Amino acid sequence: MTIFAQKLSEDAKWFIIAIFLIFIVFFAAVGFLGFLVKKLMHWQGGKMESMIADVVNEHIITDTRKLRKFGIKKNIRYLFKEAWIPFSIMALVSIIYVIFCAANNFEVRFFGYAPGERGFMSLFFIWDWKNPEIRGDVFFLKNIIIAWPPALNTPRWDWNAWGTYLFGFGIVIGGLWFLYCVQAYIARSWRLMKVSKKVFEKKLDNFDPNSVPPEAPKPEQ
Amino acid sequence: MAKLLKALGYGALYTLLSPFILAFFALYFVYCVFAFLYMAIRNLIVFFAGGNPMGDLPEDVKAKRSIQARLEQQSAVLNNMAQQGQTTNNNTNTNTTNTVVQNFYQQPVQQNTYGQQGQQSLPQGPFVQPGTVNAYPYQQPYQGQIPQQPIPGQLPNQPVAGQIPQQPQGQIPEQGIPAPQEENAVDLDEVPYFDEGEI
Repeated sequence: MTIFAQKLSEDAKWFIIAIFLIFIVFFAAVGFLGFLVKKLMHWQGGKMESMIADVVNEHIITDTRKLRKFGIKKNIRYLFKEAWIPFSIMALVSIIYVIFCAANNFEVRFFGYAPGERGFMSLFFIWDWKNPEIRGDVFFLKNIIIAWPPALNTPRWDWNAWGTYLFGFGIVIGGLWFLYCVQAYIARSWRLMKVSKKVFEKKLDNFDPNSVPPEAPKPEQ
Repeated sequence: MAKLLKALGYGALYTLLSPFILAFFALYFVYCVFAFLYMAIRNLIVFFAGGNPMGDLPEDVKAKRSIQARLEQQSAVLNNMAQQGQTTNNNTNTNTTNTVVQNFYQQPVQQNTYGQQGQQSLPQGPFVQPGTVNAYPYQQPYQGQIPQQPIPGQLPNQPVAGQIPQQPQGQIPEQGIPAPQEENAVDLDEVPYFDEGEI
């Protein structure tokens, strides 16, 4: 290892350190993001308990299987209740987009960025990643990107592409919102599985075999 | 530092498991889309059939009825207690009003300060601050609040539960054996004495 380190040039050492630091930062970010998602899902799952608490407290449901069945029904209903707004947004913008395309003789390219294409990507930077001039060899790595590519497009607002923008933003917002609903659905399902096991669980941890069993109720005289 | 190391470890784990996590999430996404569409169609059908698409499930209805019944039972008990309390207050207020009127109009001089004129109407209660008007005569707890009604199946002279039975004088309680009266009492000096050898 030491010999390998001595053979490396100063640039290569800095390159390895940079890669190492990037990995550490990336893993830490992913780890913290995971904690955040876990906390969020724990909070989202709490809704399931409030949905099934009454039937359990009132002894309407007294076994795990029935509670799960009931919980799944309630969960799907709540998913519909939560997700109808993002679905409606996506449906509405889709209808508007179809009308917009029809009004422009279907000469609309959603991912286009050129001025006449009325595309959504005209709002973003487009780089030429296929340019061979940005590729080269670094140590043992061959033909990798070693330079920033030239920009093919810089962000600009095109009023002729308003239908595409509306559709793009509507789908992104509605999709993320629906993803949030799906995550909440998973969290509630997870909580249901846990709670349905736990509430009807009978434990023998504190069982004393020498204890006297409870007396049977005496018949009334 | 420990938290950072933990985050690093979990970050590496999540990165390794990310394809499976994403696949799981994507499956659930597709499932949720179908579940949503199913619910939308079902709700439309239920709505046009005249029902309530987001109404309560049968289990919810049962639970609500059970809760409602319990609440009504509790409120009935509370109402009974409140009514009893109101009756008690009415009784107390009636007595008190009379007493106040008597004290104020008939004997206005009887302001109770110990050692003055009002000594006759000194309260029988545990404590009254000197110098206060004796407007509220002391009452035994629950005095006159429990109606004395005959209990069904009770004999005329049978003692009521919770009351100390008033036994006729000269009888041992609960046995009915006549107790020795004064006039029939035996003077111990007049009892003949026998030696053990004579018996």
